[in-house]
Amino acid sequence: MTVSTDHLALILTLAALIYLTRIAGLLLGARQAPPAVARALHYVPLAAFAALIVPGLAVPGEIVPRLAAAAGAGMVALRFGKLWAAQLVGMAVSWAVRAAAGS
Amino acid sequence: MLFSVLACSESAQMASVGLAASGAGPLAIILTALGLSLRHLLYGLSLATWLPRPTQPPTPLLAAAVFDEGFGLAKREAAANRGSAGFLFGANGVLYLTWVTATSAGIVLGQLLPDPASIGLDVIFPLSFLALLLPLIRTRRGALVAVVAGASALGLRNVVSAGPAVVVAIAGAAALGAALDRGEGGP
Repeated sequence: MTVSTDHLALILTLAALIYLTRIAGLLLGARQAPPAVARALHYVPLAAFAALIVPGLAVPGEIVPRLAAAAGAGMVALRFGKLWAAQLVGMAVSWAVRAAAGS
Repeated sequence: MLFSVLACSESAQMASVGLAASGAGPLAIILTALGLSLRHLLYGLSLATWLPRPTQPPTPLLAAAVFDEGFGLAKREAAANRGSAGFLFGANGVLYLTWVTATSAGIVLGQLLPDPASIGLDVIFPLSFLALLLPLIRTRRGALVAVVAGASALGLRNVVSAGPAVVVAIAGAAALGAALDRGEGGP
């Protein structure tokens, strides 16, 4: 596989920038944050997952199988706490609903 | 492939490749990827507050391990009082190898398989995040923050592009959580 110089430069620039976004938070956060900021940071994981989930489920034309899959995966996650089981059940539900809808 | 080895950032990678394929200029690609990656900044800040670091992978190395899935797994472990920087690093090492292997396999097999979106494979991302999110919600405040974050990410996506929408939604909802919290309880 060959990579052109332009593409290589672009990929290296992107990799460096993405790495910067990763390390900057750790370095800044290592100092003592004010209490209000520290409290907010504890809510970041929760908020981040929700912000990634909802647009991923609300896909036009696919909302029904995706919501059904989420319901299935959510129940398994809460009941058994196993990530892989939730993924498996969610995918199965998604495919079952799609098959039933004939798409 | 090289991109996977060096950056390993699913969203930024997908968007850059999509843009490059549609003939966008390098500046547009760089700005988009940066917008999509800004949430790592929030992850890093957050990790620094709660991630126990009894063993010390040096910060520059640990930084390479800040991404969505590993962040989620580390948070789950920390909630059970057993997470650590070592765990984050190990989990992300596995994720990294899988990512690089799977993208290589994708290049080879890509021609043979149908479009992942058309067989609904991409639903695995929201499902995984959902499975990681639910156990983290222990108070009504936590549930409210999650709802606000999800709804605003969806709403903002129609106004700005996906990357900034997610960052603003996370920051806004986390600030709301902190404002309601005032030191008792947590999420």
